[in-house]
Amino acid sequence: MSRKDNMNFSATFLNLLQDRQSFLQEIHDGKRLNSKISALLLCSFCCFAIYGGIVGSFHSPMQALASAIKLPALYLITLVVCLPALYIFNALFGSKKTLGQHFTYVLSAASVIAILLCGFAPITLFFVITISPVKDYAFYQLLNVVIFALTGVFGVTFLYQAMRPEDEDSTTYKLRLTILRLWLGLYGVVGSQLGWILRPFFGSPGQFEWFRHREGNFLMGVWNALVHLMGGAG
Amino acid sequence: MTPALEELRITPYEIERLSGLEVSDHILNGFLWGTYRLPLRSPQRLLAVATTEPLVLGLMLIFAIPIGLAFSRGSTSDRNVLVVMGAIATCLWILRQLRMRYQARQLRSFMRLLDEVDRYHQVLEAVELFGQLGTVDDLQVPTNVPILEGLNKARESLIAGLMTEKILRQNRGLLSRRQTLLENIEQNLVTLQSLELQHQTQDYSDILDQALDISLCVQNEVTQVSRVRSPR
Repeated sequence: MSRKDNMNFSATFLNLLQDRQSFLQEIHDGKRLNSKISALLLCSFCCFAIYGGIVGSFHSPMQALASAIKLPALYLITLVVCLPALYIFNALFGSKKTLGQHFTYVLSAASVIAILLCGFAPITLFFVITISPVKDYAFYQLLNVVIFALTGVFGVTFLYQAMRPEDEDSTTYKLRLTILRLWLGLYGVVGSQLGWILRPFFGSPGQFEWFRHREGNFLMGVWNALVHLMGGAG
Repeated sequence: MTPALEELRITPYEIERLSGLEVSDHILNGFLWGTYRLPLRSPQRLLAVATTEPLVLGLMLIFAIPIGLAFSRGSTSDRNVLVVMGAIATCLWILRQLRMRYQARQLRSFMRLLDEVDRYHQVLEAVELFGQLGTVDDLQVPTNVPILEGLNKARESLIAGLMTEKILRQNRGLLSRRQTLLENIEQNLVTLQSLELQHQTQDYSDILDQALDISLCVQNEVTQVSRVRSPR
């Protein structure tokens, strides 16, 4: 193949960023889905791993290694777990898209999040270098929560725009739009629970650990944190 | 590239349509379900393998995490989780290598045809270069019609070769279409040979030589693949 026709991984990834419309059109037409899935999987894995490594480096090199593995796992496993539900419900209510097309769409959204996180990587690295791992742990956590939330909103918006049903006159249009919204919620819940299981990502001050003892779930964790906060305030 | 030469290119989309496989410089059909293009002698292809495989192993490691966590349920040691994860990822990676090797064997003829497509594109670039040099030096460039005709015949042979390979690969048998395609390739070869005789004295005879060579390779490949896959 000539240079011009070279559809390598980074070229596909850049195409998603620079020429989103034609990229999405190609997914819609089912063109080169295998190459796209391969490129998006590898590139998003790299970007998540880089950001995970930086996040974990706040604690120790071992935590950096652990987070570089766990952050891609968090995003990509959540995606794989939630994908069948989206595909089956969409197919049930009139979508003609294949499982491969659904996978490429959601993987594109994950890739958008990954590249945005990579964009924030120098900022996070700057704070890793300049703040204290013990005293500023809460600030560092908050900073990352904001970054994850911001990139997540962009990724979800991208997916919502890309996967909106086209046939607005169709009788199932509203239903499929509701399915998409519900699925995005489901993606958030599954992601949160998986994040809870895979924690720690930042590594609280103290000894390094790969995984924390598994107890409770994400919602219980949030509830306990709220109770703790109220108790502390009161 | 001039519009006439641009039209002669065989785009990846066209190859995909003809062969049913996605093609890139180093990988066929994406790394998940595909295989690397052989031979791996060129530094670029070796580099592609050396950079892709560790990433693939990393991907397998992360998809092994839930299984590792499920297996070591109730265990307090992280080590058990890591050992299970590592074992699963290694097993998956070995299975992938075996599947890729098997697939590469199945697609050997297709890979050779792709190499001929690459050579054909190099010839197109050389023709373009000759054209540009002719403009710069204000030399009289020989008429392009026989060259384009020769290249077109090589293109047709390549397309016929790719189609034949796909038909034989997918059906693993002898189809009536094959004979027509083989005849088409032979017809193109005859035309190319006569074109070469007419233009042996011209600067472009080398290019016609290459076009003829490509078509001969395609014919060899198709004959070989037909012989191997024909029912006995």
